[in-house]
Amino acid sequence: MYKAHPQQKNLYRYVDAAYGNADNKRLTTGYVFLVADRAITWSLKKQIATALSLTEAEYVALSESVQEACWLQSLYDELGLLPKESPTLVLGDNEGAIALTKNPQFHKRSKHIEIRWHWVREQVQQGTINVESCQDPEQMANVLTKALPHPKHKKHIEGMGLAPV
Amino acid sequence: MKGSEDWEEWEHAMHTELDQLQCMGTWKLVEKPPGVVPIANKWVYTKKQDKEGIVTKYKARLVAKGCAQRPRHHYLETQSLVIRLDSIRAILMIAAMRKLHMHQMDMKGAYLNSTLKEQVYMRQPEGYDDRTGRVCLLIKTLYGLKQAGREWNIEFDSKLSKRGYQRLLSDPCVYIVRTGEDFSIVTVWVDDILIFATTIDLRDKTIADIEAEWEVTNIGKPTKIVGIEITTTPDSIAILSRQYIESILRKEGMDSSDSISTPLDLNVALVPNPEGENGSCSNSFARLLGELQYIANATCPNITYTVNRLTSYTANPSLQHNIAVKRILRYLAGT
Repeated sequence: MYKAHPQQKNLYRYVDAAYGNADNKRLTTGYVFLVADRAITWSLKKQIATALSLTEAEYVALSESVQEACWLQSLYDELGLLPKESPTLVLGDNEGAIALTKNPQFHKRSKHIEIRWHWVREQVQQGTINVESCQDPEQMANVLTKALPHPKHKKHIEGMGLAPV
Repeated sequence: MKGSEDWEEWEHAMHTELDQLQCMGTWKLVEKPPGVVPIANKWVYTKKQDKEGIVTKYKARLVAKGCAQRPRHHYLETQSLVIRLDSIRAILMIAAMRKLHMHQMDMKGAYLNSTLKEQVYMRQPEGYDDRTGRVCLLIKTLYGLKQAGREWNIEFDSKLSKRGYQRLLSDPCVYIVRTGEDFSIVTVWVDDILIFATTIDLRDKTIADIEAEWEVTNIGKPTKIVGIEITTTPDSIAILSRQYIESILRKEGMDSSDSISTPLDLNVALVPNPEGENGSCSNSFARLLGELQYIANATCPNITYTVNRLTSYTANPSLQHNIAVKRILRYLAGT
């Protein structure tokens, strides 16, 4: 179950991941956004388009989760509670996708990506978000995108602030 | 209904409802204009029970059969605004960090507060027809009307913004009012209202503001909103779906089964039911998954993946999928 304890460190941190199931060609986007180490919003959805590469799927996932990050930011902003320490940190686990958000170069293997997903680049440029990479074992959103063995499952859900009652 | 052993209770409940409808000026009786087909209505009865299953309240509600309303003629737009669960969690988080003062209230007969713009005629309440051939010309948005939710929201919004509450663009069901550093947040879920304020004075002022406009029931410290339980201690807030999970476990006869540490068995690969083989045709699988989906969305991201995977097999679930659903339940039983 889920507990919110006030904690000052790690105030706003956001995690995301994409993962494919072999069932069909579509990959899924999964993300979880944390505030003070507590999961506030999460989602797992099949992507609307077929991706040609894992990097593309991760890029789409980043873009989709940054949309949610922007919403959460604007909610806190409107409430007058947006922390000074923005931009929001988004952790992705695919180096290629992260590089794509920062470097708008035209690339043989990324030229087909639909323009709408490049929206995430703008957000990075404007400084609303900051995308950084994280190692797979640290990727909390993996709980949402795949089945994990018990120790990992437990570690991640505790990291989200879910505690047994 | 008549002749049932609690008929007296129900009759009393219906009178209470009719009194309230009359008191709110819900309709006026008029001669039926020629050519008008009044829409029908019916009574909806609910028994409110406490945790031990003892009936605490008999409630009868008169609803118009909105399905008989003709689009563009009887109504233009329909919608009902509900707050995002994400917003509730985001605000509860703030409440925990800033130790906000919380309060919950419930609107009495919320929909009856808003005025109906279209001309809609309804038959007299079932069982209470005075046999004069007259019909009810609706003045207020009675329950069941297509536009009731929308009109109520417009009413709520206009009154609240007149009192200086600002509606958020990022969630139209959240309002805020500020005085210097202090603020008071109001969230609304149809007729369920939560108030979060930095000071007790501000909280009480918001309560007074709302009480001045509508009739409400004050619940006090929030304990439950849309099925999510909220427990507060001086320095933490927890949200859980324990009662809901327990009721599902009871219904499935699994309340005493052993718990398990992960929601999905890693050693089993979920596959679609082979072509031509039909699993159980009852919709119990889909229903159960729907209930679990709500829990996953509300309080349990840890079962999201498994629920999501299984939903793709709802059309034709095999034994394997049914076992997997039972496993989620066993997992939840242990949390």
